[in-house]
Amino acid sequence: MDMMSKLSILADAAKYDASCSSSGSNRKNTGGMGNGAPAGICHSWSADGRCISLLKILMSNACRYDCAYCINRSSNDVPRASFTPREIASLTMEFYRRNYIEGLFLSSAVLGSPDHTMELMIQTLELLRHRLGFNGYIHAKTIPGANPLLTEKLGRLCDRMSVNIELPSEQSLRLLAPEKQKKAILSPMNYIGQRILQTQEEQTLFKSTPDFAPAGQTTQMIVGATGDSDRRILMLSQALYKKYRLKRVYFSAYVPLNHGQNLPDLPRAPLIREHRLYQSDWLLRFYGFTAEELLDEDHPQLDSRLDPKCAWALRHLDQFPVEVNRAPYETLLRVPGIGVTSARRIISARRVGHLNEDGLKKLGVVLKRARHFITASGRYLGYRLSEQPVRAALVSMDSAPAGMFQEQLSFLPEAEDDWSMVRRAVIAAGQPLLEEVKPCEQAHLV
Amino acid sequence: MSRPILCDGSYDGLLSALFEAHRRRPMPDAVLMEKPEQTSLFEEVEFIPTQVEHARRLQRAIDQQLGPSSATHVQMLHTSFLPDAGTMLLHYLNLGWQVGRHLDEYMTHPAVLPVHRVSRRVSLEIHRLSGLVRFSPTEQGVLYAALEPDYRVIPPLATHFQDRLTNEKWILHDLRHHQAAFYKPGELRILNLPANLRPQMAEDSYESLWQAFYDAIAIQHRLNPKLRRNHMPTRYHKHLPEMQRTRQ
Repeated sequence: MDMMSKLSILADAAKYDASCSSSGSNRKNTGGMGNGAPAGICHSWSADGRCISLLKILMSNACRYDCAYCINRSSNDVPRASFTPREIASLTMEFYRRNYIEGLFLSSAVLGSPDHTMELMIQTLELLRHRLGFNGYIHAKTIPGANPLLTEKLGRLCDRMSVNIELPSEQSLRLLAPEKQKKAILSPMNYIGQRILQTQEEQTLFKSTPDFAPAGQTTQMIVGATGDSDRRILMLSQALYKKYRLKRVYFSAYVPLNHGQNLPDLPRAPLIREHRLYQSDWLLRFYGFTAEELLDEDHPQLDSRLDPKCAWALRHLDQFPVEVNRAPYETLLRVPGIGVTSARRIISARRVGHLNEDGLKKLGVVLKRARHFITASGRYLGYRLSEQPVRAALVSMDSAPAGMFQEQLSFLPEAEDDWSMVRRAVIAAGQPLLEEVKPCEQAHLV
Repeated sequence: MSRPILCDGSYDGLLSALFEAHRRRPMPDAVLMEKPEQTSLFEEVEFIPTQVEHARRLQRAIDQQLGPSSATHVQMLHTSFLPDAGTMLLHYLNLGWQVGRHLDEYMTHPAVLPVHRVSRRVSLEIHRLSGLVRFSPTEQGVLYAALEPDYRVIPPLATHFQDRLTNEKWILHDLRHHQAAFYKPGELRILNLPANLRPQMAEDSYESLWQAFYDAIAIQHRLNPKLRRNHMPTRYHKHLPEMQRTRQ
């Protein structure tokens, strides 16, 4: 099979992995080619609007398993292909040299056995790192069920690792992926989490401690293939962030590609639901919300017509309005329409003067939603602070974007992690400060 | 009122002119980086030659009294090469000497707001292009990339690629501002280069592989051309091989 067909098959098979971020690593170029960019760089955007940062491919799509939801399940009649380590290495080098990509995202179907698959992946990365001197970004997926020694080897070669949790509960896993066990997924995740922590601690003592997945680990789960509620998904994400210190939990709207008795019959992928989950995920990571605050047991699903922060604020009108000149940062972050950037600007600008409505506009604070929840220099900027009119106003503006009707929403937020960390790293590196640049992010924040 | 002053357009030149402007009473109306096209309007433009010593002194004052974020804004404004960038900086720095390290907190001040706005746009373009630049091999085996940026982003981009494609030979060519960076291991030069001087390109099989990858990676169930355009504005498409085909 020629390179062109292989690449088409194995990129096509990899595209349902949501992650494409290249952030969090400041790997230096040690005389070879490439380096890490702490904030991540997007190199292109595909026709679905998702950013392309990494050469995202599978080692092979000839899978031994038969997970119901997966396009590559062994019972599907799809063209199969496998790359050799050398082929992937040269593709990566040549694409990187032309600045098409920021690095490699390598995943694989289970080819033969988990151990065999991992060994092939390790060979590829060793070739890249040690023979070809490649210092660009590498995201590698560990294969559940592989020997921990192989996970260790992989972690030393890549920048970011991930293990896909796939489905939000054990029952769902049994139903749709009977060959994967919860334990087989969680134990590598746990191992990676421990090793990252250990490495960080050792590196403060001994600078020479070798890196282990310096850009952290992530995971992904499929949304809408099973009956799990949004509350369950968010509680699980929260637990994963706490327990395994994951950098990101990605959600992937279930695309109804296969048919089977255990699969739901959806007309199309639940993109709005996925979008709302991402918004909530942002609230968990950057806005100081907890999953319990966003959804309680009586309301286990997110409102599709309202973003989760607006929905929360409408349930807690007693906490509003807040005065922008006095409210602490944490409170500003809870105002619908005010994000991290706006809150920081407000805090900074009010040190040297009082802010009124005009001042807020000059700062670039979007008042469309926020006006209902704030006062500026004592003046309330909305019309009337009571639930019905505010809800009506918020719902009408939320359904406004034309894309909504086709359920086409912005998808993957790229910039992530702690922005201040990135800024520190950039300043330390003596680079010009790319302060306001947050690739792909604006569209996703409230 | 005092007549405008003009510098040679280099970064040190701009700093020298700003340094000179601060010494004059009254201060000049404008600090220009290029000779204005309508000379009749500015008949009495005075040229200030670059003085490295003056530039250093001003740079030190910016670093020590105003801080690193202000220093970055000054650099970005120079990169923008907008006709009024120098004048904007004059007012910005003037306020800076009064308020010191708090300068960038005055985000709504008329001397600060436009500086931040321009600086943000310039850094956005640098960041975007660090991803959107596309190299391809010439017949001589050198990597060549043509781009048409809004601002003069060649110097910062060249620094970026110097750290990254360290062992390669490459050329970054800004067709709009006729500027190019020539790099070979151990040597980086930035020169003027007319837009029509472009090298012969070699056949490149990786370009079609990249196009195939680009097509395969899109999920057909979620096509969203509007979102793509938001992230990757049409004005950049001309030099992107993945966008230069009939089928996309």
